[in-house]
Amino acid sequence: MKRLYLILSALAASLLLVCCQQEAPLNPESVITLDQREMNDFDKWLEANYVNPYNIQVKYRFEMNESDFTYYTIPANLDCSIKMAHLVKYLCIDTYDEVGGVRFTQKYFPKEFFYIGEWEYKNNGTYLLGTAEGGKKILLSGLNYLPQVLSGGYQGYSDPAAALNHFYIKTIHHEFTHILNQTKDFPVEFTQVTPTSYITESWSTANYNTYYRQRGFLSTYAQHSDREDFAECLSLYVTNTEETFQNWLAQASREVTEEDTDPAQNKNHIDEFQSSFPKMRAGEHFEGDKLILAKIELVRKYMQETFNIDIDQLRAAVLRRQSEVMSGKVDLTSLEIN
Amino acid sequence: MKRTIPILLAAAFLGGIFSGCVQDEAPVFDKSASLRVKDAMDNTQRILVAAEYGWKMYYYPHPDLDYGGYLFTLKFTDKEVEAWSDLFPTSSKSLYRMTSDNGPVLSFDTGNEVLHYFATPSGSGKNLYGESGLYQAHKGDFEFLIMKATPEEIILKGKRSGNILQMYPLSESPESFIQKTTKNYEDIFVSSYTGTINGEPATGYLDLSKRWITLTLSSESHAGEDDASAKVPYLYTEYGILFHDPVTVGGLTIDALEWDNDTQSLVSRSGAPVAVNLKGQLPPGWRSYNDLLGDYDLLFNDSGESWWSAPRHANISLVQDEYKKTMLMTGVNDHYTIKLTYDMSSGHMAMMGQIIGEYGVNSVYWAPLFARKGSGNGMTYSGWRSTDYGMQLYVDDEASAEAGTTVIKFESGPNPSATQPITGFGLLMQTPSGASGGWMTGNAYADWFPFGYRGYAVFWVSMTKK
Repeated sequence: MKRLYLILSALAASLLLVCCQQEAPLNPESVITLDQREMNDFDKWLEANYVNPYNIQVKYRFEMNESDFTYYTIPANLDCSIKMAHLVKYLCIDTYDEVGGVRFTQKYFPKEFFYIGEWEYKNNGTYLLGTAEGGKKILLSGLNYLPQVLSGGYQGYSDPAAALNHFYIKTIHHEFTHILNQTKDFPVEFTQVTPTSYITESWSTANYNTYYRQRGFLSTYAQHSDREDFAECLSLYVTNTEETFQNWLAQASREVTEEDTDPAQNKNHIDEFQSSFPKMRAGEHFEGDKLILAKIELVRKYMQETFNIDIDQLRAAVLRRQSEVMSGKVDLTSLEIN
Repeated sequence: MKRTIPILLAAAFLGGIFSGCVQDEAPVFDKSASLRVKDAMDNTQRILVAAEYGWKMYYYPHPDLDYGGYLFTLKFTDKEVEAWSDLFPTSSKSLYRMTSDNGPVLSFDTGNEVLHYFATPSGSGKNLYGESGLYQAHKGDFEFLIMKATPEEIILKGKRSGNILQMYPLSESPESFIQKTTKNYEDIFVSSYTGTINGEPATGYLDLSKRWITLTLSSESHAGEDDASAKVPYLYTEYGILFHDPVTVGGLTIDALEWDNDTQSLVSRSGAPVAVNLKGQLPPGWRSYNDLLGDYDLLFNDSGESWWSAPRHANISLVQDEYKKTMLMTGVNDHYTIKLTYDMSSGHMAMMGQIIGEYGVNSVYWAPLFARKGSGNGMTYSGWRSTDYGMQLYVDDEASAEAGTTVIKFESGPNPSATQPITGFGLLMQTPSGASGGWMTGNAYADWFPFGYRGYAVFWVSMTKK
């Protein structure tokens, strides 16, 4: 009887193992089909200027899988995409090449850009500028407004360079800073300059939108967290002139007046003033400049020691290139490959 | 127990023999899914490009068809698509591609002013189409699942709206086809129709901005019947209007109507099973755009006088601006003209608040006003730097018949509240920062005053064509 068990078991087991081995030879035709597309002139230009030297992919054609279905948005106009690709190359990539060396750019610059034509609007009328995912991919939105931005006057920006920075380029420097921080974290000292003033999502509310410079922040968004503050410090520093920067410092250290301290005169912002500066009296000076300068010094040290980049040299290169673009010295439409 | 084990083993053994080796189930398809998707894409692209004159597309945005339908004409090359519609005077070119992210998909994947209009959102500011507040756009699609593709017909399904779209090959150039469509869109400006459907009294109503039509059998014998009235979205096409799907009114099925411009009527197409004849009914006071242009004697009060005193006269003219849409009032002051909008379906005009010029660094608003009697002979105003408030101008048929010429009356249009109707307009400045720069009152501004009178504001009464 035991033998019968064994024989039957062996047969059953062998069936399990062998019975399905008889297979037709593999089909030589692959079932993996990629969307095949012939390269157009812009694709070729991108290959020569982005893909081959830096392994950066620019997705200027709409792809459902890259987009965020939360929002209604549209593809970017081709002529705007071509100009934007030139701008990012000239104002960001080439700048980092110049200041940090090609190896630096190749190693750290984000590997994917996705362009869309409109902003991502929320149901409250506000919208998102570019966003970044995991330090690899940057979404640049609102590309179809590029002609308006460059000719000046879009959303009240009379200076095209300032508008270009605000809507697109500063975002790239900002997100790039995050990538650098992910590679080598920024010094802990930075988080200790204004350790109790970070307010996460409340940064955009009315209560934090007036005295941010006096509290030691370059922008309202910098109040979000130390990480965003660091990225704002670097990106705003390198995209603005020393004159603008000094103006910000002057605002941050201005004299406190009765218009600040008197609830009757400071109707809209008295709460913000009193909660931020409970002991300040008219005639004294705000001291936000010291905080801002302390942060900038830490940013300077970090960039110098970690990546051997001098932020003043970086700023000079950014501003020089920016003015070259604004004066029309850079051809933003040519698809010739050098 | 002893028995069960061999039985189970035997069952496994036999089961193995009978089921384990059923080999090579006959495949349902002769190719893999991905290859079939690729074939579908290649095939569709071949069909799209092959149509000599291109295609017409029946496009319906929004899952609830809230905006009615739009006819696009499209011409494809291997890489590019050129698109026309009755909403835009010129065509727009962009790239397109076949992709397989969700089955075979036709995607218009770079910007195209014509094709992407219904998908373009806006925030609190104006977008490139001048629209605002549409964060979900018009819920239009620009990516489509390919449901069917033959040289005679292509059926697409909008990825976001789920709407079904049809495409048919053209037998004439896309430009000339869209011209015919656009002409019907422009010619059909009347909303109300009366006439017959299959010999029975009937009415039609076109919601011109939403592109929906309502057909109703109006005789009392049909009162209360469920299908005495039907409503359906439509689009403008080369002969008239085509319904999104056939509607049934009193058991009669209608799917399209032809436009007869001579009689201003919507009629059944030749060969259609149900005879329809609905004649456009012009609203009272309706005048054509051209009828309204010309020279007028204007009656008004100005703010230099008591507003209830005898009105003054002035010569003004209405001259053509954007044809059938806007006109300019000249003769008010050398520094500015005032823009009026014309509504083709009512034949009325509107004068809304507007920026009419610059005074130094300030911009000057032609600001809508509400005025009331103040103390003594004075008056008190409220005025708004707003383009949302204004006055309606309409032809008074009775007064016109009496005068033997066109007489236009002014009345309050959109206004801030029921107790503050708009009675006139005044000159109000705005500083570069957007704050009020004050009324242009006082002699310093005298050369800006309307009609050269003392006041910076006017209260309209009427105007009579010369």
